[in-house]
Amino acid sequence: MGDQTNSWKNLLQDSMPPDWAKEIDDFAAQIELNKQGKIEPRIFAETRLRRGAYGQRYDNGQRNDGKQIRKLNYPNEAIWKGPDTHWDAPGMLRIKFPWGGVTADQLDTLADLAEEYSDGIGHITTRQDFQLHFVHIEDAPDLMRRLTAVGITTREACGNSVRNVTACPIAGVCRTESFDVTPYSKAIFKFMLGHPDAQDFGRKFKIAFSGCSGEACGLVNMHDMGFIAKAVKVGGQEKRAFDIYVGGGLGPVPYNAKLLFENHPVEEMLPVTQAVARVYGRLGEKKIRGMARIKFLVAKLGIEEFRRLIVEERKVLPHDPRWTSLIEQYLNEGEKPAHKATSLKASSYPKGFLEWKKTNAYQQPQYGYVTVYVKVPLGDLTSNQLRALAGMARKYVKDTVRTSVEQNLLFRWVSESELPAFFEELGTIGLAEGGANTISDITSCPGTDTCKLGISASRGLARELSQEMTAMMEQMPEEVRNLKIKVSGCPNSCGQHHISDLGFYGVSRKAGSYTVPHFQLVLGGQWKNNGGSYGLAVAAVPSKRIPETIQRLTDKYIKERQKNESFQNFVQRIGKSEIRALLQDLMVIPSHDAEPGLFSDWGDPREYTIADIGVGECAGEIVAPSEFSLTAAEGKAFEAQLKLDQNDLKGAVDLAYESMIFSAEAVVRSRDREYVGNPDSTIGEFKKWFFDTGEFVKHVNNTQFAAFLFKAHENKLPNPNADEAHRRVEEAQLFLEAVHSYVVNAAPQPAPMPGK
Amino acid sequence: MDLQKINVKFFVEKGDNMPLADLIPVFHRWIQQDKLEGMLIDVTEYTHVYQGPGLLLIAHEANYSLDEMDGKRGLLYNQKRAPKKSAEEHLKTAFRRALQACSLLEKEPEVAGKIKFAVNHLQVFVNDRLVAPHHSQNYEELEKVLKPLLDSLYEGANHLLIAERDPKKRTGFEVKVEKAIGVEELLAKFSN
Repeated sequence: MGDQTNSWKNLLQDSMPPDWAKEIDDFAAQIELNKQGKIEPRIFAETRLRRGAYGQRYDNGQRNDGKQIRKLNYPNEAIWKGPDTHWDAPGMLRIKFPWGGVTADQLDTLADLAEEYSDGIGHITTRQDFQLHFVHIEDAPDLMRRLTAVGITTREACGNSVRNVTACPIAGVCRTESFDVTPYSKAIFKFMLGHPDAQDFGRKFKIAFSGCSGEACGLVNMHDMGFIAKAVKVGGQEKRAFDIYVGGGLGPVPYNAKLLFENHPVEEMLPVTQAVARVYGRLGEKKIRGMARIKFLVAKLGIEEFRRLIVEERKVLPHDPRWTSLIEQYLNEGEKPAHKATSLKASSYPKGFLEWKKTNAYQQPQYGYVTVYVKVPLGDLTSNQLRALAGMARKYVKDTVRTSVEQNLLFRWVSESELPAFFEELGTIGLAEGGANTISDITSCPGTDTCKLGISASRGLARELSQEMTAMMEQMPEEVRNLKIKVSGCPNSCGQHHISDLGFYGVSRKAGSYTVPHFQLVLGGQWKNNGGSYGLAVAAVPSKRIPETIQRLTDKYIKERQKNESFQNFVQRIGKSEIRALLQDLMVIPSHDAEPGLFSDWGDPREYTIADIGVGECAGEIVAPSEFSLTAAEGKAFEAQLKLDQNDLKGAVDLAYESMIFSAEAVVRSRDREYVGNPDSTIGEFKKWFFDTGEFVKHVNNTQFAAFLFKAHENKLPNPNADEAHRRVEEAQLFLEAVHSYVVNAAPQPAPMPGK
Repeated sequence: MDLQKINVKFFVEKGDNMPLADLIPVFHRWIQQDKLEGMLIDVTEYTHVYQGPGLLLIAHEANYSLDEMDGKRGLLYNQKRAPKKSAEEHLKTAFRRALQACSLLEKEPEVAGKIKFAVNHLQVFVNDRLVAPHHSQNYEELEKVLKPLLDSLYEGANHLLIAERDPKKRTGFEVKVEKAIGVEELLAKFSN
């Protein structure tokens, strides 16, 4: 214990690949230089992001403690790890697990790191990564060294780079796949990591693989680039091919991916990816961050032109032997089960086993083997659980464990007869809960718990809903049990709310002098077919009333659904007007005195904003003219969605535009209560006083929203197609949310009551 | 011996089944009222995980939590980035601060009478596998620092040090002292 010269760097030098070790040494050197003030904070921020080290909530040095905004006096006040980001503030480290593959040794290491540098929890993300929270930046190099020693790099886990390559977690053991996409996802990860053609992107770039088109699998439709496996006949012989997609993405405005190449030979996978990277790097937006994802480039150019560019680029690419050698290498690294195939034969089983097996065990096509879904609450695993799971991996399956985008862990190749013992062992670490992939298995992003962008407590809501749904599971009809709930803390969609039956994203609403946490309900999304369609916002409901919202919706579904009607079809049939009417009373915010609990979020007793309870005690509240405009904007946005449902694309686009004008008018009226004007003058006033001055952007922290308004004003889409109309309606909704944020953030906060 | 990352956990004698969510407002209030030493940042809840960190008060120097690791609930003081001190001083600080938190908690109106700490039953470990990997020499060194403090605090009462045997876990001891003593009485020793 006394050896102070000891260091992880020295200790692990023989276990780390030299190039990865050097990269970490370079990063450690940059940390030192930054501490000496020799690197600009914004440069250091991008440097650390590319190494997976993110900022975290409250790293700007202030926090609302429920009574007041308090300064957090981080010790090294003169050192910054990014613009407005304190050096000593806790941060998050994202750890890439390509294709979700994780070994027993890696689970053990994660356990140690979670204890020593984080809060004792390893968190599985919605992109098959792990995250550690509350990490100090100066601990990052050692943490990375320890990961590197077990074959993990955090390089390009964040920043404007190729992010984690995700893949269907049951690839290779799936009953509906065309072929196992694992070797291809490994090859693309290896090929693109640090590739010179992928170093000049304006934004991040996400790649996914699916073994088939019909299941959710890798969610290709929502990725920047995606591959769906196909078996095709060429000259009478069966060949492996991919349908290659580009330009999909969630985020505030979701885009469906477009088919770039159909039935493309697998051998062309890497050169095509390289060509896409080159074209995106060259032509993608670099200045306006909010418009820099490849989806905007594909939409702008059109898929035909984009395809032409890729074909041209492919022709001039210098040959790289790794295009084929990497694939061959990984094809030879097949997965082997730890134990012999057996069948499940027993006269009795542990209590709860058969019920658990229904939802958590997947019969592999390989005789005698099953894949087990370990349901992980909110994606959180303790260090003890991680270690125990590592032991179980060694004992039952070797290194065939994978993470899933639903924040669970999968153990593949469990020999069937060992399933009861496996179940019992899971029980000893509290992970034998059934209901994987059901309504009780809720996906959530970190939200206000740790994310800087979080608006509402997505994890708090998910925790509550998970408990309620689990308790009600036995009484639920099958149709409800199989619904999916996904929650994001803000419109950015890290919780993938767009592709679930019941999606929610965090928003806020002003009520007099208070601000009330809300979730926007999103309906109509599709999980299957690789995230086949995106839902639309229906109604913003106070956070604490979301359980009641779900109850009403599912009750109505059960009572009124037609034979074999899916929830998605049911929503489509009855229409959003009826659903909104069902929830209308829940959307009304009572006075603070009548229901104070509504004014704080799940798991957080702090009042959502500082309140002056004196307001509202007089004869009545004064309604500002801007609030009338906002109400009108809400109405138009909703009508636009109805038109979209009716396939009246032009009507939807026009109403979305009207909503945006009313929203802009609300902002203008916050400065000039008497303002009355037409769309041109409203845009002019908004631009002059709120956009050009930076006032609007300052309060909503994003340039993208105002860009939506200007774009809609300039191009009114006389003949919109379905994608354009869908997008315009989303943009109107987002601009409206931004205006709500502006109203909340820009309004002077009332002084707290004495003693409150 | 560098005990910068020392952890001390006092187990509960009463309150094993109390919902941890009841303590969320308490921890938030501690931040509002600067109830503990050091810079307090935020509250994080892990009530949904099995035998986990429970409820944490995240701070810069050291986290405080109602920890449930290994199925044993207790107040854990997890020192992370304290100023440089001797091993003895680190240990003393950790004990004092953990006891202060226990004392505060027992008095909070939401949980008064519902939670009580057995301050003669605790755990001490080093949260740093580089500084303190599992081997006998490290246990001896830790014991050398720990024993005098235990003797002084518990006035020479017999105590049992049970070393952590699992090599994957952190170097440390479970401590059982043969002397019933209350939080306040023990805390008072630090002002003497």
